[in-house]
Amino acid sequence: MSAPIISVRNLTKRFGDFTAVDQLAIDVVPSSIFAFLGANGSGKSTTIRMLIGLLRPTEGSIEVDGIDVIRHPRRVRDHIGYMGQKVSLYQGLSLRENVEFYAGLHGLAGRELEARWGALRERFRLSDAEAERPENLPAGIRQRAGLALATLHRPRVLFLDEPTAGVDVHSRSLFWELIREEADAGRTVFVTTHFLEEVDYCDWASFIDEGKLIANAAPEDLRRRYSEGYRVHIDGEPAQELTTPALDDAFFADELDPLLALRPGARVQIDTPSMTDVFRRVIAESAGTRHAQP
Amino acid sequence: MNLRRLWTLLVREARATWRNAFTMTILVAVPLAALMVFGFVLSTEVKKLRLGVHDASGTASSRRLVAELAAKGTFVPRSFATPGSLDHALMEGEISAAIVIPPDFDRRLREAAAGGAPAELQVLYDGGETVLAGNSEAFLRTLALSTVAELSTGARAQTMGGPAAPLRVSPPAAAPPVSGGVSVVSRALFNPKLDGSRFMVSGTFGFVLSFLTALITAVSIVSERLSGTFEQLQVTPATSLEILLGKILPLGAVFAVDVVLMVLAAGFLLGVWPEGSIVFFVIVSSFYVLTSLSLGLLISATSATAAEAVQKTVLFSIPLVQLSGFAFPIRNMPTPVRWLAEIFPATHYIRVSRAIYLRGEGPLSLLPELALLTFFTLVLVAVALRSIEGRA
Amino acid sequence: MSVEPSLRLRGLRKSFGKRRALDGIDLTLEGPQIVGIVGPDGAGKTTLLRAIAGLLEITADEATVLGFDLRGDVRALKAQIGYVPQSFSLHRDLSVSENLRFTARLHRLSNAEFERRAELLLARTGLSPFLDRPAGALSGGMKQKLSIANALLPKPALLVLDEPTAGVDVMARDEIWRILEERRSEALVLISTSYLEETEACDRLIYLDEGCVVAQGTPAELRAQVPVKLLRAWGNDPRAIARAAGSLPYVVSARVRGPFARIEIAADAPGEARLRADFAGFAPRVWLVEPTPVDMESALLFLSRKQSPRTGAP
Repeated sequence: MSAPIISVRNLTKRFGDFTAVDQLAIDVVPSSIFAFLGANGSGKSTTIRMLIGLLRPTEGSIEVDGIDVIRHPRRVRDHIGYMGQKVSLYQGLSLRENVEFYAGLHGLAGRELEARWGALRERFRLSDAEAERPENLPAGIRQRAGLALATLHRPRVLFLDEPTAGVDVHSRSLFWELIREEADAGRTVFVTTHFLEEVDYCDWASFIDEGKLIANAAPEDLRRRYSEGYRVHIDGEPAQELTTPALDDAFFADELDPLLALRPGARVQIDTPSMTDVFRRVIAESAGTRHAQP
Repeated sequence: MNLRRLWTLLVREARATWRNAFTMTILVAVPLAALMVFGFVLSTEVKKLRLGVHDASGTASSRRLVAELAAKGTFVPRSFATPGSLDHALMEGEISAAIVIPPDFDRRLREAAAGGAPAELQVLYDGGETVLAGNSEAFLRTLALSTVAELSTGARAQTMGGPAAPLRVSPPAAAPPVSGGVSVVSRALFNPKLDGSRFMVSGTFGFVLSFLTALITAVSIVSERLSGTFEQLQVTPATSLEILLGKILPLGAVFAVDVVLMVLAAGFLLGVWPEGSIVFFVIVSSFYVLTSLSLGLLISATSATAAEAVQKTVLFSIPLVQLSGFAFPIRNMPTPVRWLAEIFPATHYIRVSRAIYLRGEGPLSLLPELALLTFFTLVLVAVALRSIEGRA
Repeated sequence: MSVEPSLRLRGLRKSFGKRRALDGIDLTLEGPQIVGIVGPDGAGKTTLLRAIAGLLEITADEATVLGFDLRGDVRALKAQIGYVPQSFSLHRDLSVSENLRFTARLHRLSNAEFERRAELLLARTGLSPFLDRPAGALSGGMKQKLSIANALLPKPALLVLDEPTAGVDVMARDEIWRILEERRSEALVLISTSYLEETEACDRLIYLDEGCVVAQGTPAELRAQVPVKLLRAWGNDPRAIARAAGSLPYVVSARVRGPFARIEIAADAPGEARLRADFAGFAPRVWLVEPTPVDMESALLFLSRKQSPRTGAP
């Protein structure tokens, strides 16, 4: 297991009497997609602002790509790309001019920029939009443009805050393909979203509630822990049903295949616990624990 | 500081500003409009003032006095048969000022020439229009005195000292003290025609460059903060100083052009040119622009919305106009208020601006004021930088 | 006067300058139900909702909402509508209760009526503990709930909501939908949404694109229209499976979705047997190819693809 590229320990932020973030500890593995989830007002945005060096924590430590973010917030800026909830494109400037602007700030220009942007433009399907101004572009394209700008300077880590909010199904799907390509290229993606089914695109998910971490595992492990498991229906006389916490080699080899061998051609249907249901359960259990405490 | 990054920031800000037709129109039209309004229309110059005259004397001397008053074109005399009708006309606003020549005017003049008590002339004016009134009163006083002196001695009046003043103008409120029969009459040394135009024009620069710069900057930055692009900037390698300069230099360039335009407009359209060096004036004004822009930055840092930024700028500008010496002389204000005025950078700039326009002063004599302005600028820039850092 | 929750639109058009936002909408809805408005960005969803809420000047062959003519005087119509726009539009410096009281007065609700309705709505939305808090100080989800409670206060016959759950977390979304479902039997509820789960919960769906109604029907009807078959391929390495599947000629799309690869094949194509055969010797192993009923995602993706030639999307 390689060393984490983001390492957070005892992260705490207090605003007067109010504790927004409480002793958070997270490790993010390089080249992975890490989903950071939470309700509105749960401390999610506060945490992200601390991770990118815009907010000073009350306590704790943050290390991103080997840099102590609290002591050297400026040093980390060339290592990260950020896409905030509000669009980062300047109105009154074309998309191309926006690209030149952000590239210039990172010291990227001339032929190097041309090569990099040319490739991105192709992959992100932004060629038609290059000369347009952001206010004239639909949300899906703006979001992809925002992602392209964030990754332009080849940062090691991408922080994306609700990048698919308000985007339609088709554009969202394409967007996540692009995120996966970024991770394949070696970038680590730290992303938040309210579309919980998108967690299935991610390698890891952690959930914050009232400033505390209440879940922190791979999606499949969360399913295992916070759901009734997969229900497998097999047609036939009589119909059969199997339940399993996880669909793995063991289940298929030892349980399902033998059954199917007895009923060749039988239809199989698998009920998958949705991530949305998984998180409903996560929250319910957390609330239950909280109410149980005096 | 990285020059390429700064250049990138400058280019973006310039593009965004110059493409915004509305902002550009405001940036050019408002200064010129203000110049025209303040310098031309609202000039506190005394010209063609309707003067009511009640000549109870009706002698050669009194008629001569009235003729002299009319001669220079400053006053347009109108006769009134009775003091009552004069009062009435003054109250109705038909006349702006009035003089009453008493019946014994001629006799008293001759007596005064022979060493007796001075003759008296009553001046009435609309006290509501204080600035105008003050000017016109002073003017009347001077003119009347010099005319009468001429009449009695047959020679041009002396400005200081000289023989017993043959005339006392009442009310004596701000009148020169009479002691030993000598009445000191002052004359406005550096604005002999009491020409309000030059005074107002030089002050207008201060007003426009203080108010408009702060306003445009504050609104622009708040809008950027609200749209999310500012937060995005904070996550790039750009330093706070680069961000600050990237914002104010392009705007500063536009305002510097504004200054040149205003100087030219004042010169060609109003006939008002600075007594001193135009180049020096433009340089100092451009420097003051930076001061004002930093202030605008500060206002935006403390405002949540553009509307709030506008409100704050306007609120700040009202005392600015009252206290900076733009329209009202600071001299006449109570001491604590005068000290307050000294805190405004605008006050100092207006002083410098007037010094160059009216008296033709140069860098050496203005050094203390310039040093003070520099100090203000550095403080404002430092505070503005802190606000850009913005880490809670 | 009880108002019939229905609307009839024929040839509804709206332009902003040169841009045609609505290009001839034909839509008939009768009776209380929850209707979802879906479609790509820029399709005209917000414009349509605003038009129905009586906020825009429109041209149409026919435009009757709750029995009122949209093209005429809409003041009486507005008394019967609850409208929740995309961005928070209540008074930020007024408290929760003050905002509700303000709306009650606008609609001339009696004090008793207001007290009763407000208590009910506040309980349902969980806003009771925040009665005196300024609306601007509420969190995003609570603001949305307040907007909805506010819209529901006068018991409108028509409720129009523009992406009320955008950016709202799952708990608050659940609560909002519980409230909406209570109105299902009495009011006509029009809601635009980008959450797939929510589209399944609607009685009827309207798919908009480029200012026109491209498809409409119950979720089941919309799904049935899709000429693809959906299969899930389960295996240890769904990514590899998806990649391999994507290169097969009869596969329309292949995407990874957690533990499985989601594969769409043309409805008239060979079918799962062929896919099974093609993956028989695949390594790493494909455990199972499972045909699954077409879901909303496939339906919506198909509808957006259908429009692609015209819009040049994505």
